[in-house]
Amino acid sequence: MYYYIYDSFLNDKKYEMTLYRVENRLMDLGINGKIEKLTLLKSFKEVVEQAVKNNAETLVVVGNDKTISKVISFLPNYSLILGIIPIGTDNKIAEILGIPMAEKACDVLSSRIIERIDLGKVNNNYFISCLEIPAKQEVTLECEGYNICPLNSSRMISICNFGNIFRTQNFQHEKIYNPKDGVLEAVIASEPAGRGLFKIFQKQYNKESVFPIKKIKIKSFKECLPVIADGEMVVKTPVTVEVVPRKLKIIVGKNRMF
Amino acid sequence: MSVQYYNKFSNFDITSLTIFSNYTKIKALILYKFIINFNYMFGNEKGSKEIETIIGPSVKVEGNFVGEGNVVVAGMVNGSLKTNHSLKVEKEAKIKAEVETANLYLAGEIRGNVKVKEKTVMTATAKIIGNLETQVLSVEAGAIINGKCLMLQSEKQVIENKENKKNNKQLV
Repeated sequence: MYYYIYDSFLNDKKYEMTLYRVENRLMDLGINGKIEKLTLLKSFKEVVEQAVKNNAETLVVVGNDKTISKVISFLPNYSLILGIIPIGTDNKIAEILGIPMAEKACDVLSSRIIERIDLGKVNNNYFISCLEIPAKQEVTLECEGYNICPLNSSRMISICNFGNIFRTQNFQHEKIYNPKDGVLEAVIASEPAGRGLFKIFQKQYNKESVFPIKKIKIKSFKECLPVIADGEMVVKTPVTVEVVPRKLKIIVGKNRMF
Repeated sequence: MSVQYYNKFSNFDITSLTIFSNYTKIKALILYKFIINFNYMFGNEKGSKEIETIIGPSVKVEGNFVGEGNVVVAGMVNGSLKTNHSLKVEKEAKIKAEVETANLYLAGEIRGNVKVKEKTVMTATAKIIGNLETQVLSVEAGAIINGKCLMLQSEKQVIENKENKKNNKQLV
């Protein structure tokens, strides 16, 4: 049974026609199900728990990257298959998963290509794409048997499952890592060495450090630093990050990037 | 770093198709192999599955580092460094560690003993302050080795030597 959750921003009138087309397509394909619309009074967790009570097998999230981030943080605790219908702007996760926009995503749902992908876990909260931490000298990453210390020229630390897709508007040039390899990638980006125009030219030659990791502790000595998961959830250091292999069952499209 | 992409043809076996003639099957197989090789050679990373670690110039690693795939070092490493695959040490890299690897390409500096199972390539800027054990060694003019250099024999060579000794004894 399919259970559809609409994010609260879809209550806006400009999405009315799109939702109408999506619902019609779902009817045509025979995969329509119960629809829950989020409001200020209804939280995601309540709706998901209700879906589990109603014996839903597939939970379809209708919204954008933020919607997915919100639901991913706790969804793996329930044995549900996740489907996505991307609507609106900022749908990078759906693009990586090979899911087209709006009513075209219904065809992907009906073809049901299910993949089991890894998830990252930061202090009992899950994330699907990446974690971001500002790289400061007082930050240390403790892995199994060795420590990684960023030097002066480091700019940003990311712990990636897919890749740091929230860093730029156009993520086509970002590396996409495999979310089925059983490891996360700790990426430490460095500051471009040149100045002014030279900075632009040198940017492509600056090397990122990449460490495949299974578990890592991130500590900061002086102050607690913010750790941003999937561009949404914020935790503070110290944190333990680990990979949970093949934790999430998700419906993907043929054009997925992994 | 495991940059992997989905390969549509990964589970596809052309020979299982019975509707095509053998000639068509062979042509399709050659085309398929050409596409895969083209992707591999010219940087389209579809299909590459190796995990690679890059220790960049803005990073210092301390402790016992064990890499699961190829390792590239452009920064600093203190402690020990092991990998069963290849190790590339770039010009600006400084390693103060015991190093064990299958293959070594060295353009930077290593202070510590180095054990290489197969081949070592040292460029003009390479510097080893410590002992080196390797099977095959290539040194460019200008490279520095301050320590013992021990050339190991491969398993094949060891077996051949033993057989030669046996033969010589029998002849005597």
